[in-house]
Amino acid sequence: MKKYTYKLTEEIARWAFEVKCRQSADWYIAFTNPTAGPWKVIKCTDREGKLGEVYRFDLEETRPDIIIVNDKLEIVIIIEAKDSLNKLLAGDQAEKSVMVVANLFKTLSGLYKSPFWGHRTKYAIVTGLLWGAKKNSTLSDRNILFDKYHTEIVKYPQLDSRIIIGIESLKNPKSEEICCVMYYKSYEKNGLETISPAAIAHTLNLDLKE
Amino acid sequence: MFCLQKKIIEIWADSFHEGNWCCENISKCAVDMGASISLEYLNGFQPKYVIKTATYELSLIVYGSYKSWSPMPTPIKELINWGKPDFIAYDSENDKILFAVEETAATPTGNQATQRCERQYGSARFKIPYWYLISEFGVHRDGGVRRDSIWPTIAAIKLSIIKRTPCVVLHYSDINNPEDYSIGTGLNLLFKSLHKLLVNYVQEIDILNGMKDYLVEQYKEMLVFLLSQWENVIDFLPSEALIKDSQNTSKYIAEFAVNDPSADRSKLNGLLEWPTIANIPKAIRDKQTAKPLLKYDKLCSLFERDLGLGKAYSLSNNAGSGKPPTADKISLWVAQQKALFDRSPKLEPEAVFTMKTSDFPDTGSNENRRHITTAKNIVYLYDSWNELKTTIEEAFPRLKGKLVSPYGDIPVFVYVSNSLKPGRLFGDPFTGQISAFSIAFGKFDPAKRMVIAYFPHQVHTQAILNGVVSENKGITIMTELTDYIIFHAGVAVSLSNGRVI
Repeated sequence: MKKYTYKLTEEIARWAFEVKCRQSADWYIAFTNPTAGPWKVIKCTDREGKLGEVYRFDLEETRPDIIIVNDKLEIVIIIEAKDSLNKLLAGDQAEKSVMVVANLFKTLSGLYKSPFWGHRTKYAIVTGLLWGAKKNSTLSDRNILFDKYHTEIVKYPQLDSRIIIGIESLKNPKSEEICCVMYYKSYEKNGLETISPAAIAHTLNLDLKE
Repeated sequence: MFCLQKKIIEIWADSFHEGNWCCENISKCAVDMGASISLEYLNGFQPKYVIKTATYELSLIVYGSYKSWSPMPTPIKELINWGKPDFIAYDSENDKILFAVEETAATPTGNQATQRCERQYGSARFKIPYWYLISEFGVHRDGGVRRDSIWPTIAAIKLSIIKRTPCVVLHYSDINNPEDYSIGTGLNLLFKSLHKLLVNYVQEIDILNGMKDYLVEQYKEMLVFLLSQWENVIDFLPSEALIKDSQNTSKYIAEFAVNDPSADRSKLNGLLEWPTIANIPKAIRDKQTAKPLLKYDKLCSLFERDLGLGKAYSLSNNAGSGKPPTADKISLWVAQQKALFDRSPKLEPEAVFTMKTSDFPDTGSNENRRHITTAKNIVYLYDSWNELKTTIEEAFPRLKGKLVSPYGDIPVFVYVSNSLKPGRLFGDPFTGQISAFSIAFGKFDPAKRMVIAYFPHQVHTQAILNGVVSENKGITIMTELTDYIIFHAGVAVSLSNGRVI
């Protein structure tokens, strides 16, 4: 077998995290936005575990990169992915990404009659950010990132602004291995948090860092 | 002493999803045949499936997102220059591609129907077994259900015979379950074939050994589909008797696909070969009349005239035009094309840019939208190059005596694209469309047709500027499949020899 090296693209950073979701018994990938294939619809299971179509995006409609669902924690995470943290911070990216979350929130909230989504309309819909990295991000970088997105999120009162989740797909330059680490920033009062990042990280088998 | 046969095959893919999906489905087939499967993730993300039986161990490792990996193996690099299939099986030990697959979740409609056909041609060109898995029924944006186009199927049948390599279109779904992979035979037929091919390879026998029966079934389905769908698309399908005899015809095609030395072309005489005018049914011949254009263009009006004069025929008047653009967009387009045109070195005789917004008639919709469609036909089949040349010279006198056929006075397929989309000229969906149509309409038929493309609203400098031919997938395809491209102002380009006329 030939030895290849790879560039840490958004696709690879995102896929590395999806592997973690696939390996988890508790999380389900309801939507992912690769370049093509049978994945351009949001799919989820009904109460009997039968898989069905929840929502089909229009051709021109903006889509998030990943939507994951945890029925035990009653959480949906809508994730925007880039190959670097800086790209999540660039220009009006935060504004655009949060608008996607807000639009999707509206769509999903309206699906209360869907057998494949209706019982999930009361779940917390959390904003997630995923980036590729060749070295660990700093606390300061992440604070800037999370705060920028939080500023946008609070512009939409219907959105859940209690917490933002960050996933760093970190490539080890020597071994070429990718390790996903979960970060978060809670915007709830200290000690009164109602969403547990530890539970999210634990069920995804990820290391958790604030 | 017994020795377990082992192979590692790399699955290169457009995305990890597609590569992984390929491995999952091949693994399911293997399990059905009694194999055991294990899965691990190399480097924390790269799926590695190991399929194990008593006699062999086959490892499949996914390399998602082609261009992320370095060095890209040369055969893969060469193949994806002709369009990127969704996944490719590659043996790095022997530097050999085993198969390529394109699959799509939606049924493309209109221009998009042939969008992926350049990949089909690319694989056939390198004699790589190729499958295209597509939904037979799809949900359109308007909520209606559409059925797949016939052109990828026609091109695939012809390429299988010409290149003596499997080139297959498989369908899934049905009218009640559009875009449902689990309905219909396509998915199962695809992965049964890929599994068989890989097992052959790991056992070091000819990869197409025992594939003929699989392929007969697949070609039969293609012929049955064609027979049930062609009348919805075109007025006339040649060799209908051969297509109706799907039992035998599928067998003869499969013989070519597996490169059986006994494959006999005479049994497929005339299969999907559009004949000269004298040999089309009289009713179709009588229907050929000049139709008015939506937007005037001299050459297109002469093409239409030639239908009425019996010099050419067309197959339908159903060319879709999409939503007409607004006058503002057209003005912008005209300005951009003018700027591109002005970069051209002076041509002899002089070519004059004449496109203006007022050429494009108002649709009357009160939205200031303008028609860009010239004729409603995008395909004209001429019997004679000399007659077509005379027509082109009548529209563009500057080309008088300049265009030559290296094949003598043979029939010609003329393709027209009215597109006003920037960058689309050599991109999707036109690259795929011209691939499918060139093959379908005789580029490689025993009675060959020349291929002429006409882009009335595009300028030549997008293809060649100062003697330098642009480099992209579309140029690669058109260099091989077209004889001349005629642009706005009657500037003709021969990509194969880099000439601007």
